Amino acid sequence: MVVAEADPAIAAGGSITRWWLVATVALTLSAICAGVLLAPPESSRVGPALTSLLFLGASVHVGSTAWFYGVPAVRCHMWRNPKRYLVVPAVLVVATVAAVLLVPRSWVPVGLLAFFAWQFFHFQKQNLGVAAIAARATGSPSLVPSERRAIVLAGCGGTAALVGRPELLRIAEAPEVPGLFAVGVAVFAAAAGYGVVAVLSRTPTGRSPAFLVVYLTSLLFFAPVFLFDSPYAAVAGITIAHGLQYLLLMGLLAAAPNETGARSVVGVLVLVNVAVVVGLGLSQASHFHEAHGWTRAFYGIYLGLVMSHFVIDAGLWRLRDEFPRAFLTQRLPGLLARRSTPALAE
Amino acid sequence: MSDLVAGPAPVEPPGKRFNWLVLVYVLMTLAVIGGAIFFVVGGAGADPTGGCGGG
Repeated sequence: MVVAEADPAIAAGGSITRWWLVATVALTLSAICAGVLLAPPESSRVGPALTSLLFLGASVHVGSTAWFYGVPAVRCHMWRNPKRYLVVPAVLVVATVAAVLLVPRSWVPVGLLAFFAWQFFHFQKQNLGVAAIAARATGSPSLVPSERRAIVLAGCGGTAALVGRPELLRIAEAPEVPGLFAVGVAVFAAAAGYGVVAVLSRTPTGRSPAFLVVYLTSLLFFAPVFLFDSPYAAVAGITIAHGLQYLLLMGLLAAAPNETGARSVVGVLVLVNVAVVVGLGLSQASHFHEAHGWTRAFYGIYLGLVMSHFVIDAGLWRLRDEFPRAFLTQRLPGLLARRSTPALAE
Repeated sequence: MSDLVAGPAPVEPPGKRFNWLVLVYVLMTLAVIGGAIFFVVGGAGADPTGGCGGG
């Protein structure tokens, strides 16, 4: 909060910018702390507080993607791009259902490792997006390729470490790749150092304190993976943090004035209802992983829909494309409307 | 004729009307959240990745 108030770049951006920056950093760090503090001792059952936070950060955040299908402008964009928003999700669900029903169970752990590798890469793509929005919101210059590369590489290091230690993901009987965790450590450390050097080489006016905090939070997002042996301390915190970052942005989108200029509390309530109902369905479907017979198909639907969320998100938040840029800027002008920095204005 | 004399009926400003739709949505949201807590907290717990992806 102090950083945000003391930052002249944020003062120029208005209260929504200040609010989003503070909330994003606070939610990310407090979620990671919650994962550490609420992690159950080995062989104990996870408590209701952490279960609820994981439900919110995992299932509800994935479920909230369904809200996009109810926004007329987004739906038109989806109809114009059926491959990404209709065909690929349908193929993913059908293929995953077929896989969990037909593939020998001994192959499932390898498939799950690939699924989680994609999931954690998706986490880091969001972190990259959050850092890019922070740069835009504070009026700092856009991320340069070295800064972007460092965030992506740090995410690759974290993902490699998790795949190299599948017990952190609680995947029973997953094959261990010797040395992969150590490779992950090395890549993450190198990327972290590279990123710090890259961001500190900006001119002082181009690295506002608030932008720096968000950038470093994104860069070091996977640090808990290397610090803790408990799966919940290492992974649950970043899972919740990812989901809360997303829900915050989705809440702002739902609360924003729509195409007719109307702002309605009903929009936020609709988002909450859609996200919780779809999230509850996903959460319940995920419990069918041990089922036998055709009911195991629900587990395949769960995995397919989560992967569809990765694909849909990668399209709808892609600011380089015309429609997402226009839609998101219209709904979140305080965060995304381009402001010139003091450095650029000179 | 009498309509012309009386003029149009007064229209209540929309801001002063009670918005039943919002109340319905609020109640529905509370019910949905309550139901979700009941199912999730009373359920089989969660993996560190959310759900039960890893088994």
